[in-house]
Amino acid sequence: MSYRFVRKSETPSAERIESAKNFNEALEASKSFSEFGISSSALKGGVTIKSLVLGSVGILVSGSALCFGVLGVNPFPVKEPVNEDTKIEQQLEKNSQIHIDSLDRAEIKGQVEQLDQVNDEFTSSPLHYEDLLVRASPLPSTEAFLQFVDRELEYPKELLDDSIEGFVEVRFKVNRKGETEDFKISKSLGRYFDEEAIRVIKQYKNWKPATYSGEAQEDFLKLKVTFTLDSN
Amino acid sequence: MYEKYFEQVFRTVFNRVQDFELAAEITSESFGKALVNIEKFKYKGYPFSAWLTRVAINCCYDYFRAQKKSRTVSLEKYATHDLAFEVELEESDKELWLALLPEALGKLKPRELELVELRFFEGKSFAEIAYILDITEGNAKTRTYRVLKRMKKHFKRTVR
Repeated sequence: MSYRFVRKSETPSAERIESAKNFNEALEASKSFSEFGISSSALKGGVTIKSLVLGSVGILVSGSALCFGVLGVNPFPVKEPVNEDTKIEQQLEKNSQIHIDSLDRAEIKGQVEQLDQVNDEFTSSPLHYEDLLVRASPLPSTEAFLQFVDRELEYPKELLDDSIEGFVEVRFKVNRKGETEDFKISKSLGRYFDEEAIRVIKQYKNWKPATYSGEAQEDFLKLKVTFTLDSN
Repeated sequence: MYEKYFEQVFRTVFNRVQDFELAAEITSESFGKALVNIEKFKYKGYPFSAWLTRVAINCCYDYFRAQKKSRTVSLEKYATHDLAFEVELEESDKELWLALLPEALGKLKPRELELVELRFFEGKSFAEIAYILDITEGNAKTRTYRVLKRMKKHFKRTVR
């Protein structure tokens, strides 16, 4: 876009602006916009009819969407693999995830129907705390976990001379049994740092799984592990 | 709504077109659009006027795009105290700065220009600017200062 430069800008007085008021013109404009509105809502009608016809498919789709929300499945794909081994590992994981996904689908569908029933029953009453998703967390407390990581983390000896500082971002899953798995590096700082970060988190075994309506669920967590030279 | 916000919206539009008749026309269009879409306004901690500003600015750019017209930029405002302070401008540099501005500003994208103008000429908070331009607050802050840095660099390079 091109610009037109003026040295000094005008500032119209409040009275002059007042004189420019023309509500009818705004109304006219709104009418022309709402005409567009009608056509788009007509389009929406068409879509609803379609989704009615494909009703059963519709439920499945919304089921899987809800699965992302409720189960907290990581919606962000992890990009950077650490090395060839993890690449293969990741691919294997991917395959197994797809497998689990298709297995879970029927279950999820059931859950959605249950949820609908719950919603029907309690539409007028306030939210029930059992319906809340509680994220997975380390036991006894997050502070204890972070202290553990701090204590255990060692700066890779191989790289001491390079004096690299920075952080590694690790994503991992806490499964329904409260075990950590599926470690992935979303922000890498080099192989040695990545492996060290994963090693330390893997050592910590005390996790409380996420719950939804009191039922254990899988959850994905993200942790930033910072490497500095001062502490070593 | 129309009575309360007309002047504010009009001034927002006028600053960008510098033409009284045209500003009146675009302001009416903005209110028309706002009236039709009023149900889309959701309170997210920003005043209703911020939403109206967002609609109005979008209307301005729709107009510039459709009519292939240029957006008007008032140079004098870029030499105001706050901005001069940000780019570390001496009082004696001002004339030179004004002369060099068109070249420096010409390189900016409309959105970058908006960031600077909303912040320094219209005195809005970064949170509100972010809402108006539909970006995150951190992004608005970073980008604004990046633009200023670029302008400063351009100036220093040309002068020396």
